[in-house]
Amino acid sequence: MIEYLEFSGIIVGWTIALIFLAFFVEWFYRKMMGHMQHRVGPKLAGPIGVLQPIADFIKLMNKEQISPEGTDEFYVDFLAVMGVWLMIFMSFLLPIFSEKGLISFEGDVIFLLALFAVASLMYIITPYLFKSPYPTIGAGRRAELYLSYEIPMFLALASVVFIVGSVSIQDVVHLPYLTVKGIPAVILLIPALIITLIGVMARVKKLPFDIPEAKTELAAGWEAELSGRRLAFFNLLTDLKLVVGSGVIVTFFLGGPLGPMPFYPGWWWYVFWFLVKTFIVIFFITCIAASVARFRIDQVLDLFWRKLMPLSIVQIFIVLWAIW
Amino acid sequence: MDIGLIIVLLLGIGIICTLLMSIFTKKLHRMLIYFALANLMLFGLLYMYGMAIIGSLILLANIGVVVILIFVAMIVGEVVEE
Repeated sequence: MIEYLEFSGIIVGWTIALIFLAFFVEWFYRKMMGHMQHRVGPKLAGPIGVLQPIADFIKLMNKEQISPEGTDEFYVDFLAVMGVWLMIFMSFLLPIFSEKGLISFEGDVIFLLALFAVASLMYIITPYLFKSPYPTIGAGRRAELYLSYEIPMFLALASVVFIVGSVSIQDVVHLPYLTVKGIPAVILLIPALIITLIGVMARVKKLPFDIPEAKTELAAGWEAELSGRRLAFFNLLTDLKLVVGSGVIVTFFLGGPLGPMPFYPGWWWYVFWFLVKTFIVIFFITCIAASVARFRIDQVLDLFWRKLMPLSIVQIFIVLWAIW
Repeated sequence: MDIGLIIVLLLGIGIICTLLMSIFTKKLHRMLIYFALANLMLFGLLYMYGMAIIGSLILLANIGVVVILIFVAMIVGEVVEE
């Protein structure tokens, strides 16, 4: 009973911490983007604007919800809450407090990828619930984007699973310490890392892959009709996706929570290394977002189907050669 | 009756209910939502019997099917409109 209560406490505590972490990441992203584009970025709420995402969230939660006539109201709310819940659940699978997640089982790698796919579905179905043209076009673009990045990214992550020889996250995190035929496994998996990084950027709709919303041409596209609480939840979902997506890269390629523990080894070292690596990945994503212009949909399809797809197949062959 | 069996029963009933709802609903997006929920519950059921890997693979494959369905529906809709 005490163990059950302790586990529940950790789950609740981590959920609250994750939501605040998502807000902090949004601030970090906006501040970095601001500096890279010679702007100030958020600066009013809290010291150096760190509370701005929380202030935005509270403001949106109190705003009136307006939606076009004939909208399937219940299902929009349901999908918004479901999306956030799925992302929080995904974070339980990530190895943050130890070498395995809060929830761990044989095959959790595949389940992690499946949950990622389900969360993407929220972005595709929700715009169809509004009887409005802009969200529908945005949803179509989102579906095209999904069908483009999903297969190369899945093949890239499958190559990690092949080289490790396990579908458990607690084995996958040991990848940086693995050597195959005298070559460090991480070196062999550099193409997979590049594909996954681009795939995660496409998943979280960060520039240059923000074509489903494309503010200048589609008037925010899929989220054009979102307002009030729904918009707040979908913004939170995007932030959580950035955190969890970066966490997936850290888990698969950068050794997850593993790192040097010079004094007093304990679970806080795991959290420290995981967060440091996650923020490095987010910083990298921000740098790319700040320096590359938005792609057109045909350019995205070209990138994923004609360049990253062959690269992912080459990666699979490299891995097969290595483990033969 | 232990707690595991109760969870399995609830998941089983949930799968049947969501599948029936997805069959009898007249809107495509609702059908897809119910279908996704049924798949999540199927994963839960298989997890209870130690088949989490198979459950994850089914979930991954079926979500892909759902997205392709949306995509095809969208293209068909555009063609019909034109």
